[in-house]
Amino acid sequence: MIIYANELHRRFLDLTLLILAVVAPLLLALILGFAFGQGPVAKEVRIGVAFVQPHPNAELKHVVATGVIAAGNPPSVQVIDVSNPRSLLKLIHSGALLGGVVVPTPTRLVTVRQGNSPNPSRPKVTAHLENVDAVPKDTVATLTQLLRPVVSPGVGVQTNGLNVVVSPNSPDANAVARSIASGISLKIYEGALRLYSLRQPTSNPAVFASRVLTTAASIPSLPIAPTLQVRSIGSGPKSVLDYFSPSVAVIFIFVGASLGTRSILLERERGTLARLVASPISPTQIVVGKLLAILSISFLSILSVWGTTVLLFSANWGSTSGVLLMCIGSVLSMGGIAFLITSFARDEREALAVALIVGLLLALLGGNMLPPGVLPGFLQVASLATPNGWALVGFGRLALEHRSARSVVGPFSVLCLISLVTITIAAKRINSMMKP
Amino acid sequence: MNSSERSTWESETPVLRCSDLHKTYGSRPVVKGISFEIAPGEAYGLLGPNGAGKTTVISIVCGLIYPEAGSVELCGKNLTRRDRQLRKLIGYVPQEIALYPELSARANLEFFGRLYGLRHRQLGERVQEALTTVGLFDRANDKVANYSGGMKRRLNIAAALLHRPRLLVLDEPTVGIDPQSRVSILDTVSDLRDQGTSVLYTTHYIEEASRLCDRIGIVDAGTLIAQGTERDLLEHLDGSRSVTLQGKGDLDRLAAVVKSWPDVECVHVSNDAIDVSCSSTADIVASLVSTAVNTKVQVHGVEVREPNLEHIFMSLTGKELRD
Ligand SMILES: Nc1ncnc2c1ncn2[C@@H]1O[C@H](COP(=O)(O)OP(=O)(O)OP(=O)(O)O)[C@@H](O)[C@H]1O
Ligand SMILES: [Mg+2]
Repeated sequence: MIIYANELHRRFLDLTLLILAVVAPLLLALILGFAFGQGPVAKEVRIGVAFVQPHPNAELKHVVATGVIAAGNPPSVQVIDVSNPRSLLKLIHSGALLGGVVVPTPTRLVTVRQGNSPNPSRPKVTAHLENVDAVPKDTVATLTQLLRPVVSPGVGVQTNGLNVVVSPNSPDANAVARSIASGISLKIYEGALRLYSLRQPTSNPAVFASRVLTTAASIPSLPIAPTLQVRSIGSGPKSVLDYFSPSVAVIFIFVGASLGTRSILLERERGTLARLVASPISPTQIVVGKLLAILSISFLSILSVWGTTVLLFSANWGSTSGVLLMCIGSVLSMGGIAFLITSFARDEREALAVALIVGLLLALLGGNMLPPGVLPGFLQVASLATPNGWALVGFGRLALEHRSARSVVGPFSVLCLISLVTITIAAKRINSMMKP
Repeated sequence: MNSSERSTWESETPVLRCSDLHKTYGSRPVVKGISFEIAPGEAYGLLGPNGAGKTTVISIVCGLIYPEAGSVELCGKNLTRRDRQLRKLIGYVPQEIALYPELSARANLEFFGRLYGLRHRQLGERVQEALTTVGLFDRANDKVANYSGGMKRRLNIAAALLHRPRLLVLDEPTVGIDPQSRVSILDTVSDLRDQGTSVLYTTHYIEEASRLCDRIGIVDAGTLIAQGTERDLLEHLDGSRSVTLQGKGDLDRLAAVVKSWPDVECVHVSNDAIDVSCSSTADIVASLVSTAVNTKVQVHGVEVREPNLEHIFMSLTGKELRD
């Protein structure tokens, strides 16, 4: 315990604690984040929806809400209710929102509400006419007009009186806002079409249905405007970040641990180790104290990488308890290997040189430098001979496959085994090294 | 412990007893059967040239390495790997400066004090005490890295005093420092001895050994070739003297002649002088000068000195303590 505190205190003073546990992980996370994440701007595309009418009724709100869902944007798109069009413009101007949609007064809208029905397969439909003028007359032209946006959703957005507002420097937001507008518009037309069908004097639904079908077939199907494709926002490159951050962090903790275990050799060269051995503290206590200090610092540094990538770049390493388990396993095993190298080195320089080479080899073999699955088959097997290979298996299950903590118990146990073996051998050797 | 208890114990048991220590590195024997004892309050000096095995003996005494044969007893108890508490009896001052340069003097001492089980107020008091003893009290909060060589040496000693050891073991504590710091260190150690601490001191400086130590052991090539008080050792050389002749010429030829004389124990030639140790000086001065003249050596001066430890060493080993 005294040795442990002394080690940490000295690391704190010579700044290696700060560098290894805070600064370096932060840098690492920043590099990874900017390379693979999209930065805080890409985190969310915020689009506002405002109603011209001060107090829109529930039906209108429902139409808009289903329209937003119909737009089918990824979760990174956030749609926010704004009280009126003027504040919407202000928010877009200030940058708080990237775009917006203004829904006009319902004089030109028709909404349809689905009432509660005892039989869910045949919902009771009640129509509300907001404005009699807007009710389409039963003509082929009217039916065509109603069906067109259903067949080609990209067309006719503006014709329905919806305004799309975007800030000029955000093409993504532009596309997202348009797709939301077109979703809302689609729902409005759908409602109108439904209402239209309810008000048909025809008693035979089959006749009406065939009319709808032929009219729909006569409308040319236009492709969805390419600007509405907003696929690239969100998940793609971020999963690379999710996986690469732990992968690089594992190599990083190896370097940190190697620097740490040198402390024993340094103390031997400096002569302070002789003082420790001459004291009533037993050699085992010395070794354990130092090892614990090194492992704690490594653990702190991997937690820092995790925290930073999650907070700044909204990385998702996967299940929290699983990640904790894998962090502990990685720290133990990488610390064990660093410790083993130290125990075989004759002096502090040799230890550092060997650690660098071994670290690089482990990283190459274990696959830390490459995206998952790129390694040829035999190397994938070889990677399981390295602790980082196992660490990556575990972190991959959590980050890429989104599996539970239980799925990493296997890799975690392998890592613990590796650390048990390496630390036992190293501790034996270092114990016998405790001479001046 | 009260004083009467202490005195009976002291009178019976030596603080340190080394019996027939043997240590081999690889195939080379480095310590070959060394035995000695240190009584309570006694200062014992191990005097010997580089590589004689002084540090090795000290490492065995402090339990850093274990001998192949022989035993170390501290206050009557065998020093083993297991018994860690026995180590509290020893204050070990390593030959090199064994401190953490990135820590302050105080932080260093606090750490070493904790190793010996000192805590809280007692620790603080002992740290103050040790700093005062070595005269570093006002620099206590400076980083050791910024200390001068002499100050580091003094702090190196302070770190061994915190737990008030019965036996202070110092391995060449004055190597490579200025005369002022050396005097201060010698004073510190002799004060501690006067207060009752036993001292084991290695050096290859004769002046230090003769000034500080009650008894001296002379080590050469892993064996203790003589031990006793300085007076005892000098009695060995009863009546012997050392004559130094300063001059120019073929001193080597002169030395060759002198070496063959019956009473001469040791001859040493330097640049412009020749040292002769012999068991009686009765007619050596006259013979030396006349031989010098005969061998065409220009004599500048002759000096006759009382024997000292250096001569003892020379007479015992036939070589000089420092080369
Ligand atoms: N760890 C070691 N391995 C091998 N040989 C050693 C080791 N330590 C010391 N020696 C050898 O043992 C001999 C005695 O060394 P030691 O350090 O005891 O001498 P010393 O009397 O303290 O000398 P000095 O006055 O230079 O300090 C030397 O020849 C040295 O080379
Ligand atoms: Mg030595």
